[in-house]
Amino acid sequence: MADRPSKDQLGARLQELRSAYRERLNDELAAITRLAEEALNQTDAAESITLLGQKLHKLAGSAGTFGFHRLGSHARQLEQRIQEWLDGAASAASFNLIAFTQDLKTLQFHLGADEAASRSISVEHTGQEPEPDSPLIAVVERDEILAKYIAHQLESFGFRVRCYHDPQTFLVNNDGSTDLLLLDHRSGAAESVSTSTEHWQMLLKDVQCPVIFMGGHEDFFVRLEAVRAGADGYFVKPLNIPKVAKKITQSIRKQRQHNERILIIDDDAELISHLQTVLTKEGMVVEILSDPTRLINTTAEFQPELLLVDLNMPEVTGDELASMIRQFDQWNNLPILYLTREQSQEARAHALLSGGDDFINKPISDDYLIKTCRNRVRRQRDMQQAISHDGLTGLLRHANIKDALETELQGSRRSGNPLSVVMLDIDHFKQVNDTYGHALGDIVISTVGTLVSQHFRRSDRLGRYGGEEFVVALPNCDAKTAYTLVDRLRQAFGEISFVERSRRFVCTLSAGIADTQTFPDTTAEQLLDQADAALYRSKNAGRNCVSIASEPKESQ
Amino acid sequence: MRSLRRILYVEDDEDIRQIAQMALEEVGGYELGMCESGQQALDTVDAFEPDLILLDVMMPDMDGIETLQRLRERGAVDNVPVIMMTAKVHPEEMARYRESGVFDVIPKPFDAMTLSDDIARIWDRFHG
Repeated sequence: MADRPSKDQLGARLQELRSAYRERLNDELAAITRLAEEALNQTDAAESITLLGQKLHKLAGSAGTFGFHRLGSHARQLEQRIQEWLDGAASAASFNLIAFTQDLKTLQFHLGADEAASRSISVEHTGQEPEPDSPLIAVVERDEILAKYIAHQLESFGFRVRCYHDPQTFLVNNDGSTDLLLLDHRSGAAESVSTSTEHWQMLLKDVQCPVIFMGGHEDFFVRLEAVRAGADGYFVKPLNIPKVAKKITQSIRKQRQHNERILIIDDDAELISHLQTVLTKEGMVVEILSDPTRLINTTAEFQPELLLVDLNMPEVTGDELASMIRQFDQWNNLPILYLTREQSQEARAHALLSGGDDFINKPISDDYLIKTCRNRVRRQRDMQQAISHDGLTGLLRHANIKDALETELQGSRRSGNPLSVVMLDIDHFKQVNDTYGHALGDIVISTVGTLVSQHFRRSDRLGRYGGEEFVVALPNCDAKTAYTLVDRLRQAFGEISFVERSRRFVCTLSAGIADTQTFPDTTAEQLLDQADAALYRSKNAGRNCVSIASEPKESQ
Repeated sequence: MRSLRRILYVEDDEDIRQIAQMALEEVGGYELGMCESGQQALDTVDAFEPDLILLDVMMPDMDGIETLQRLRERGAVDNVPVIMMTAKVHPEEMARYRESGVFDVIPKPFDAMTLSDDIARIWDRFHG
């Protein structure tokens, strides 16, 4: 065993083979295109098309092995189309050679995409151990070196990581403390000639935490397998760790989401009490109302995420109530479902036009009720999340963080608890973009986004303020405490290296903090200005540091 | 348990043979009999006496399934596990491999770094 090459040496050999293969690919793709063009000019093209199929088969087989996964799977699809045609499954007329030749040209595009992916970006860190209460990620990966590498990268984002060789080892050791399972879908599936979907469903049936699959290539069936096994996501190797980290953060947050809030309005007291019991048993928070005149007040106080309204009540009808709700801007997106026995299409259509979204037919099945309510609220939350959150970082958008800050400031005034506002900015970000390109710049921004999500509490409000600028509102937290938290974030970020092929660089960030103890009678805008001024002090002090706005603002 | 030493490997694509050779000979330390076609496998199997056979499915002239049938006819796969290496792993295809007496399937594209480990584990299971 001793004279065998190490994995590093092997990796280098593999790289050599890959480079040699890559050099031949251009000729190969040109030959394939040429063959298709020749076939276009032939009266009987069957022979050329058969040959084309063989070439595509060869490409499909080898490209993936050399790491060109997109190219390989696209070649596989093209090969299958030829095969179906040759098998007679598709009629001769349906084989459009001109369109096929056009599709062949996209092979080049897929090759480009593979090359972009192979310049995959990784992160490294030199920092301290993650906090003991940070989320625990279980990584199931057979390749020990790869597992260590993934673990190291995830630790950069402040996760705790435990690696397991195979799913069984994980299951035996799982004490329920795992927050998320990141799993190579081949780590168990290729073990035997069994349908791997059943295999995963069996294995994962007792796993309570969210699961994310990773795998070797983009494939519909693998994704399907992941979906059937109840996974939240599927990532293709080589992993884009900042993206994976973002997904992990989102999955864990989703898992910890609060209970659905449901308001039911119906004059049948017996029925609503039953519905309340059913939904409460499922963990939802339910408020019931049999007097429709209290609708506005109750909605404002209870802040439901879903309204169930009886369509036919004696005093006032459900569609009238829906119209009333829609008169308020803030409830424009509140889902409304009618409870009804109404079968008339006309009446139902009218009810929809009044602002309701759908119907739950009476008599109501408990199971249908539960699933409908849960689905409505979750879809609404997802949509709300997409509207109010920035796609790159998963943090609140500019306008939303300003609103959130306003809300927190009012809360702080009411409670008398301090509020801290933090402004963060990535140092010399323009240089990163200019030197490494915008794609890598985006990775840096998304990394800060994930770190920010990791470092603050659930009650904190986190936003991307602009390009590389972030705003965080910390309720019940004075500037001194905020300083400790932000400085820990600053250190963690500085310890991450971004690695792109042979290039490696480190970014830093600067921050400014202002709190309501130092500035008791300010508006949100003024507080932001103070944090911004402190941020500029950090920048002037040489960057990569945190400053607290300490004196009342001088008039400018 | 007998140890795994000799692997008969049948694959028509030269590029893939090259990577698999590296993975099996250098990483795994196995003795490899390489064949470019099913026919070549039939011609060499008796002399090579493999402990295990690795077959590509899609090959011109004689595909992996037919190669396996003809190897069986001449008694060359008695107590020798046969593994298919293929990108076609949809349930109905998997059922077809199973019917043909394939012991296991390694999906393509395979990972050169873990291929020999995978095969060693399949070997242990065959004898376990």
